[in-house]
Amino acid sequence: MKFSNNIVGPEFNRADLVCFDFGNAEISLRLPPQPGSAPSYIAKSDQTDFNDKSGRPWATHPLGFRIKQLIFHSWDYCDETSENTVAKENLMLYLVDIPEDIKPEISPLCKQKFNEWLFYFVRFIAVNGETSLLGSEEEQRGIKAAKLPRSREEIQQYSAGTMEWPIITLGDSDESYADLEPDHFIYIPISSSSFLYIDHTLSIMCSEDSPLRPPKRDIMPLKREILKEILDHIRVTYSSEIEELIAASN
Amino acid sequence: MNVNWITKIPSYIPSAARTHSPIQDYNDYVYFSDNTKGHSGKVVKIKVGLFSRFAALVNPHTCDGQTIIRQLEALRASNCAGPGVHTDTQSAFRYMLKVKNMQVFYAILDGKDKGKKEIFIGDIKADFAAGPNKAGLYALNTVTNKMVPNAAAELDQKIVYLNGQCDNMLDAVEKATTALEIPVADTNLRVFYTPGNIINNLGVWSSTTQSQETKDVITQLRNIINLNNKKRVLWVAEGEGADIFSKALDSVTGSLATYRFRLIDPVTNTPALLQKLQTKEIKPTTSEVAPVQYTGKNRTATLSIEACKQVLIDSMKQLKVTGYTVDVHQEAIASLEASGNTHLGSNARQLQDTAALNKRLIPPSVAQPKHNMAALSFVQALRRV
Repeated sequence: MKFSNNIVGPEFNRADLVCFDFGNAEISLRLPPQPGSAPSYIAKSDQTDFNDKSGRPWATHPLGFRIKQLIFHSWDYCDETSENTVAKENLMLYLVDIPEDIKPEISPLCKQKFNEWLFYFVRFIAVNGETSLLGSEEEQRGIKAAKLPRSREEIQQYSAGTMEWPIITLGDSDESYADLEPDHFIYIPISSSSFLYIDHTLSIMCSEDSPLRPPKRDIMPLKREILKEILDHIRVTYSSEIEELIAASN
Repeated sequence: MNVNWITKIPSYIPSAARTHSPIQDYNDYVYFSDNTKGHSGKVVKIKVGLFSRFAALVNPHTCDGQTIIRQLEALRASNCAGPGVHTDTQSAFRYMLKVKNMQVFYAILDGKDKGKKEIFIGDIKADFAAGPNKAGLYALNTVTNKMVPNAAAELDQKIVYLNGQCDNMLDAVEKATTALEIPVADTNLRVFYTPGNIINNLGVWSSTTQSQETKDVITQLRNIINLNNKKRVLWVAEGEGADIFSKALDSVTGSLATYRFRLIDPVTNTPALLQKLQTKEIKPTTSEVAPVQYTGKNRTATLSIEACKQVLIDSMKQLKVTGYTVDVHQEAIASLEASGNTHLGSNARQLQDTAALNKRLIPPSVAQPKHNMAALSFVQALRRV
C-alpha cells in the first residue's frame, strides 16, 4: 500500500496468514514477511496450546492478570524512489488471561464494563502503578505527559463486526521524548476470561535532517493509516456460545 | 529525484581537480562486479582497500546484500543524480549514494578509454539509522510492559545488556532476551541502549575522531559503571556493545571485583578488552555459558576474528574461569581453534594483485590495452568470503 510522502509498505494481501485458536474464538492476521528474518511467532503446532514451553513464558502483571507474548514481528516502510527505510513497524500481540477473582471487574465481552476497566487501567499507567496517587494531580500530570486518554469517552473504538476493539494511545512520559508521537494499544476481547492486546509501535528511522523524514504533522496520520491497514486484515471468529454471551452482555 | 548537498567528501577519492586522474590512482581500483566492466553503461570500480569493511557491512548471500550490490551496479547507468544520491557542494564530480546501513562515496571521472566516464567508489561508511530511542539505561515498566529509562544507581544483582547494531530499543530488548534466554519481564534485566548513529562513530566503523555525542554516551556508561562499583552486576556485551563497554572502562579507576562479564560476538579489539577486564578484576560470568562466545551469526564479528585469531585464543586461554563455566569455555576455545578461514584475507590479496595489473607499464603514446574483462571483480571476491 502507498501512503503520503512517497512511502510504501508491504502488500498485506500477499502477507503470511497467522492463526491462533483459543477454543471459543480464533484470530487470524496478516504478517508481512521480512526476508532473512527468523519466524517471529510461536510455532504452528503450538498455536492452540499456550503453555510456558511454547514461545515466551507467561508473566504476571501487577494488576493480577497473566500475559503471554504470541507475536513480535517487524517490517519496514520505505521511500518508493530510493527504497531506503523510512519507518519500521514493531507489532506485538499478547494474550491476557484473567484470573477468576478479577473477571467480573474486567468483563471483556461487555463493552461498557470493559471500557470502564480500561480507563481505570489508563489511570493506573498514569501513576505508574502507585494506586495511592489515583485521583491526585500526579494522575492528571501522568495522563497528560503520556498522552493517554483523559476520559472513558476519549478511548477510540475500532469497529470489527461482532465487537468493537478499544484503542489507547500511549506516549513516553519522559520529557525528553515529548516530541515523539505515541504508540497504540488495541484490545480484542476473546472470552469472558481472556483478551488480546496489540502493541503497535511505528519508529521513524530517518534523522531529523533527512529529506525522507515525513513532516511532524504527517507522522501521527501515518501511524493511524498503518494501524488501520493492520487491523483491517485481522479477523476474529467466535463460537456460538461466545456470541450468545456477547449478545447477553451488551 | 533526491538531490542533496553535502560539503565534505573523503579526500582519498580520486582527485576531481581535473577529470583525468593520475596514473597511480588506478592501481587501487578493481571492477565492482562482472556487470560493471563496461559492457553496458559506465565502468564502475571500487577501491580495493574497502574490501574488509564492505564484506563486514554487506552479506552478498542475503536479500539486503543483493539489493545493495544491485544499487551499486546501477551506478553504471547513473546520470549523476539518481535516487538517494547526494552531491558535493564543492565538486561537481563527487557524489554520495545512501543505501541500507551504508554511505557510498564515488566520483565520476575520465576512464582509460578516451571520452568515456568511469565511476570510482573511493569510500564507504557505516550509516546505521539512529532510530527513535536515545542512548541510556532502560528497564521494563511492568505496568505498560514497555522499556523506559531507569535510574543508574540501582544495579545490584542486575544484568546489564549492551547492544550491538539494532534498529531500535525493541530490537535490542529482543536480542537481549534471546541471548540471555530470559523473559522480557525478568526484573533483573537492564539494557544500556546505544543507537545506530553512535555505533557508526565507533572505532570499528569509523576512522574519524569521536563525535561529542559518542563521547557523551561513553561518559554516561562510565558513570554508571563507577556508581555501581561495589554492587554485583553482570555486564553482557554483544557486537559493538563490547566496543562501547571497552571505551567506557578506560579512565575507570579502582577495582571492579564485584562485576562479572560475558561477551557475545564482540566487535572490538577483544584481546585488548579482555586485558582491561583483567586489570580491573572483572571476572568472567559464572553461569554455565562461555564468557566469550562467537556464534557465527554476526558477520562482522566472524570476519574480525581472522586478523587476530591466535592472539584472541591466547587471551581467552588466560581467562580465570571457574565452576561449571570451565567446560563451556574450553569448548568455545576449541571451536575457535577448529574454525575455518573466512578467506577474507586471501580474497583481499587477490584483489590487490588484480588492481596491480592496472598499473600502466607502456608509454602514453602507445594505444592503451582494453579493460581486462576476465579480471577478478570485487563482488566475485566478496561472494567467496
